[in-house]
Amino acid sequence: MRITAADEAALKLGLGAGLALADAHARVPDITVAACDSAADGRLLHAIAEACDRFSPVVAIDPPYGLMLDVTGVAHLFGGEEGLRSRAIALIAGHGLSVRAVIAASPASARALCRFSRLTICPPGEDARFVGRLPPAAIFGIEPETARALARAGLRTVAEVDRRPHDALAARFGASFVTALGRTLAREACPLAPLRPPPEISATRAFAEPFTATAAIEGVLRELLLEVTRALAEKALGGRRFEAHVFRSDGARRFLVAETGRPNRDPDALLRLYSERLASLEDPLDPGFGFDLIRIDVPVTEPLAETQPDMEGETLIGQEQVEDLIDRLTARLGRNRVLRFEAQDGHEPYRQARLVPAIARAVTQGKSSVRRAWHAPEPGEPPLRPISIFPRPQPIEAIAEVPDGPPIRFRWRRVVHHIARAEGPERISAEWWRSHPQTTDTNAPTGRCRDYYRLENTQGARFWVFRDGLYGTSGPPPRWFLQGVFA
Amino acid sequence: MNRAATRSAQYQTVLDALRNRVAFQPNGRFQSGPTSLDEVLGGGFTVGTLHEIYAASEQDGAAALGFAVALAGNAAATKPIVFVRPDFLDEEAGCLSAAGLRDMGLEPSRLILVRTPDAKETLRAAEQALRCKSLGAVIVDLWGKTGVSDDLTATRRLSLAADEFGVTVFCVRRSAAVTASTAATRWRLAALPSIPLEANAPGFPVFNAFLLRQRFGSSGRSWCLEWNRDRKCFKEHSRFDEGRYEETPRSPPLPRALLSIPADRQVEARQGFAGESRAAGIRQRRSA
Repeated sequence: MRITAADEAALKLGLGAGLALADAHARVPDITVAACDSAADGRLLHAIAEACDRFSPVVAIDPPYGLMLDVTGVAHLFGGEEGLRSRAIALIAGHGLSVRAVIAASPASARALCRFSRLTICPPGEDARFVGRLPPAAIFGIEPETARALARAGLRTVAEVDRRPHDALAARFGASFVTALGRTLAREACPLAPLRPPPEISATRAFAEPFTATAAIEGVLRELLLEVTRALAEKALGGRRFEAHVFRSDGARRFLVAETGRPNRDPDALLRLYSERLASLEDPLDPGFGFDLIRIDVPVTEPLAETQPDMEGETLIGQEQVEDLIDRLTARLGRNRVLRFEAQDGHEPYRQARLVPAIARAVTQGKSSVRRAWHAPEPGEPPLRPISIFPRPQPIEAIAEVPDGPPIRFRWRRVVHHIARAEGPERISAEWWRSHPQTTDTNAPTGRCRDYYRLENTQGARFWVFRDGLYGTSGPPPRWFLQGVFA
Repeated sequence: MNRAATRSAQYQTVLDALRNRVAFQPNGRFQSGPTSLDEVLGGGFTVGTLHEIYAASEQDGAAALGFAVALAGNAAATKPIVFVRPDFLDEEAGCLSAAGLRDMGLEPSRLILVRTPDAKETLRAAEQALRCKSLGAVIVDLWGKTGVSDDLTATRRLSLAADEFGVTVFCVRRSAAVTASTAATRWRLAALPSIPLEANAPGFPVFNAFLLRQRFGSSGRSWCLEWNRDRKCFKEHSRFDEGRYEETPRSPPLPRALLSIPADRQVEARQGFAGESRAAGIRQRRSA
């Protein structure tokens, strides 16, 4: 068993990573040992990354125990780079972790300076000088064998490595090594892979004094929405999805989303959607020790012309009103509760239509004009499909003539129905191209061919009933189920 | 005397103005088919009001829903329809089926389905939907109590919103006791056996609609209505009697020759007219 990580006191005593646990015990008898759980460590790192979202939306994880933030242009919100750094350290150290933070020009150089030096803020343009003094292990993404090879060659600092001809280095260690060297010295751009893609448009408000009144959030959201919609108007865009992040001073974060069916940049309409969302939260926003930062991001945008050409007059306004209603109902109830029917190519009865969120409709209509049409019913025929359909067929006990007669009477939900009229069977075979999961649930139909019957009982109630399986074939005996009820 | 006359004239004008305000002036009416039904309703179902449809028993929930769907299709000519129901109804009474809607005459793409967590949210979402002028109708599907302590207030808000924006609202109540409300019409609906097609197949849906209450009109009548999807109207039948329907209107009996039966002699029974031999038998017994 080997040590993977040690705290400062242990490091001072000479117990570092890689040492065998028995040796460590031998040197220092009383040490506290905890089992290494890298999964839990990863989760903790993710949680800290989420908390650091308040400083910048671009947060990347640098395993095993580092984070990289892109703080371009946000330092002024926190009182300069020094203020930002001290606030970040205070946030993480407040949870009992020891943390070191460095601000530099490129992520690779900041990482190198953080791990191998005591510098706090690297002056702009001086990265190459400070990083040059570090050992070669500081090069971003260097392999241990490469570090050993460089040490054997007598190159003790990054600056010395850099003075060697680069094509010789590339020939010996690969072209990616030269790129990593350039990135570490802040000569080349080093892209980050953030946890969430940065939004196109974003507006932030930071408060020096955290406020606890939940009602004041709407006022702040209004200001932010005005700023964001102005930015959208400048670029002639409309937003489809607006995300509001509300950060508490102890690091917790709440996330509110407002979606619209069409690209929108009207601040009043958006504020109405947010009010609906706030009103319908199950557990209301708990201020804790106060909210100190609110940010609105617009991750999804679409082009929106300045004015809508009013070609059809009343009809266009009517359509907008209906879509506005859909937006508000979606904001209050959720995306999956406001639905529309969409025709689908399916063999089984309940697969011929599916419900899609109504708010997603607008996009698909614009992109593809192929929309499946509904089959028109035959004139002169009574309803062949029930108005209420059970997606999970209800098992019933039926008495019917063998082999393919309709039920004479059946029992459903403890009520016996005597059948006066029947039509059938309508054979709908199973979708053999779909693999049915083998369930041991005796109340579910197996994937066999079904004979559907339209039944009417003596009082006039009309049912749609099927028999799962055929008599006379091998396999389990056929069973009866109720699929739907007619009007 | 002059002053009294002018004052009474002023009172009269004020009263007339108030009467006009209070008098029920619907935004419009839509027809449903049979003339007797439309006459009793004063010209047809009113647009922009609340119509409540109670299911007569547990089994008749789907019938009440079908009735509401049929009426809503007529009320909203081509405009979209919003359907609001709590999500536990999917397990209890089944989901809405697009093919079933189409078979009742309603194009499924016109429908916006709103599934709410409970009954209170259902009413709230329905009220919000009613504020959109461009809708044709709103159908609310409720099971049991409304979840609001005062049913009257809840339905009153719905009817006020419907009246303000001119959207008709149909409220289907399953497994609920009839309570006071401000609905324009209140129906109790049951399913009736249909007229069979060939080979004893079930035919077109037939409903027994009993008008429990009409806000400005008479009530207490029931109709047997058969829904014709192709013509989108109801057809009335006379009362369901002994397993058969009789086509209405029932024509008056034509004059025809009656047979004379002697009172004192026995008459042998003849085949065919069963009523005659029965009448003869009764007359015979009386005389004997």
